[in-house]
Amino acid sequence: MDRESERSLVGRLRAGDPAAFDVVFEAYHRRLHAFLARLTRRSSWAEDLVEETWLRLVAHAERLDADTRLGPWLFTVARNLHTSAWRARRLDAVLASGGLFDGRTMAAPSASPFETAVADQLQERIERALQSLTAPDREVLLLVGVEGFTPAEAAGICGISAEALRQRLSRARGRLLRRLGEAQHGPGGTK
Amino acid sequence: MTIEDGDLGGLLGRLPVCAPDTRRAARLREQCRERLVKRAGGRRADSTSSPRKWKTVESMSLALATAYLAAVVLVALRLVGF
Repeated sequence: MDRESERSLVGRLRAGDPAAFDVVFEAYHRRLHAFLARLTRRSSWAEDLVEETWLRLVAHAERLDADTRLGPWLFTVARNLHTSAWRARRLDAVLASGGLFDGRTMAAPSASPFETAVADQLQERIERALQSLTAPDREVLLLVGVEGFTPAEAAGICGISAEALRQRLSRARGRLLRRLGEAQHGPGGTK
Repeated sequence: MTIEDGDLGGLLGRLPVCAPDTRRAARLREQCRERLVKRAGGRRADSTSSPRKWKTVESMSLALATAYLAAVVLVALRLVGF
């Protein structure tokens, strides 16, 4: 979405245009849900949080700045809602033994059954390794690695400085790689 | 298969998108559309009618005028001997 279309969408949202809402919903609903599902580790709670995110957008639509970046705005709200829910429910403790997205995932398209199987195994390893990380590690990896936000945008979403984000991202990548290695070779194993 | 640091960005970017509940998403979209339209409609109605502040002033003026009139009537009645 280029800046001009985004500005126009924001203007229409401020005026209460439901067609503009449809465009934004189409562009971000799946992404927000995937982000929150990986962050919460539970699809049903992700559904609740993504619902609250959209309701917040509607409630604040008239007060949006003309140059609001909708992606970062929505992910900031989603991330803050997750942080509040995490504090309130202590999600990590409750879900330490929880499942992966309630089993509802979408397979990525692949060229052959062999490639599909390899890709599925690899993705499952990454998903499991991601789930074993702490919420702050997961959120930076998801925002930059999965959602494609720039480090500056991700820093804004997380409410931290760009330098702090760079350090957190670097540590999170290191921990993810270690978990992936452990999953393959066992803790303390060699390649 | 060993995953190196350089592969990580690409692998994360290719993770599949977890599918949301489509029926719930459709209900949510409808609910949001309705709220958006309702809020915008409410704002338009507010901007075309008198501001709330003036409505309060109007009703207070009416109450004062009624009280004043009642007092005048009472004084007049006393004057004529009631």
